[in-house]
Amino acid sequence: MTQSWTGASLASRFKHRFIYALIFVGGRFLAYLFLYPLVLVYTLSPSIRAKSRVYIQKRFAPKNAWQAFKHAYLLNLTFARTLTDRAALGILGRADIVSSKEDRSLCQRLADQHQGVIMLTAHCGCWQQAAACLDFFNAPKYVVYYRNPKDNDKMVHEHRSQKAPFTFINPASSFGGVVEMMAALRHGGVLCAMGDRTFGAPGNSVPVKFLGQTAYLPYSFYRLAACTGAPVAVMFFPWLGGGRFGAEIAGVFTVPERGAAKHGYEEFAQKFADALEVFCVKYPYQFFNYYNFWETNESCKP
Amino acid sequence: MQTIEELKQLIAANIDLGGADLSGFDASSPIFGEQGLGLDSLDAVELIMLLQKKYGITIENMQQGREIFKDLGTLAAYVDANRKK
Repeated sequence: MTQSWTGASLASRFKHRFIYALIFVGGRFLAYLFLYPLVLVYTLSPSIRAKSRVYIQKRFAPKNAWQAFKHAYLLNLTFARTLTDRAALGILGRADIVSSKEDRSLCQRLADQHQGVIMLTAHCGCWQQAAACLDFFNAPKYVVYYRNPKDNDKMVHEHRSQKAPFTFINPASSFGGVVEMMAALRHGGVLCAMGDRTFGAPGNSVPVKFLGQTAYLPYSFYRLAACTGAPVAVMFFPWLGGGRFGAEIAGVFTVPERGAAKHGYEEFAQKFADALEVFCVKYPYQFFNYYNFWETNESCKP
Repeated sequence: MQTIEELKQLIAANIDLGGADLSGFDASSPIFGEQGLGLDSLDAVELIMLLQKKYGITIENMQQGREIFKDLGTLAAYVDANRKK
């Protein structure tokens, strides 16, 4: 098996541009109105529902097909709204970030240690907007990001033809981008990465318990933290509606040196999985991994 | 030649090579991929840290990394030219 996810957009370039036009003319709420029928049409497609079926089963345990459909619709609608808000942030330049003073202060203290910070988040809530708004980290920012050529959605800065407020590190580049990641941390940068998705070989993952079943998460960032001494901050960015999103620190930890064996890093991947599960309980319609997250294969097994 | 042997010892002592014997590898042996020592991207983290700790060498970007990590010979040449320790 290769990786199960693709990163390709479901909607065509035309539909994306149509939504952008609605936002430009009537703001995000006009675009929201259009999303109700559009998402309904998508959700009626069995192949679209299949993408979220496993999560819906594990998170909601629906009793019948109607309940399963309702949960799939609400999940897809929330995802469409977060994408609309991301476009609105780029087009209109407006977004409110809700975060506690304690969390902002902790972020700055971590950055002030000048050891770099590995900020792990997941494909949930408004992770895409967050990368453009991490002003509370007063340090250079780097985002580990693979962009599928079939991704039709524009990033926030692309709407304004501006330079990204962070540096991209491509995990598909030589050595998985680790040369740049280590240089970023050495310079005291904040390295933003997704802790819920393994890029490349599925063997680069470790087993964790997530929503009652074994899933496989990457361990490379914990090994990177162990080698460099950089602290790991687990952060999530829940969508709060109407252009607002939260920035919540779910945990901060350091990783002691454990050598190369991947089982030494399982407990840290489990900490991340536990934090993600708490997020999914609190925000049930904001987990946007549209593939079988729990799918196992031989190369993943210890 | 001496640096190549030193690097082989350093790698064998610090990176899990699955029991592979490095004695048959020479300057032209690739460091990454199955044709050579078989290191992967996660091992690169370890190798970069080893170079920093033992020789005071830092590698800043992918282009530089690609040239340095091409094979044992290119790595040894870079170490000889840039070592601070």
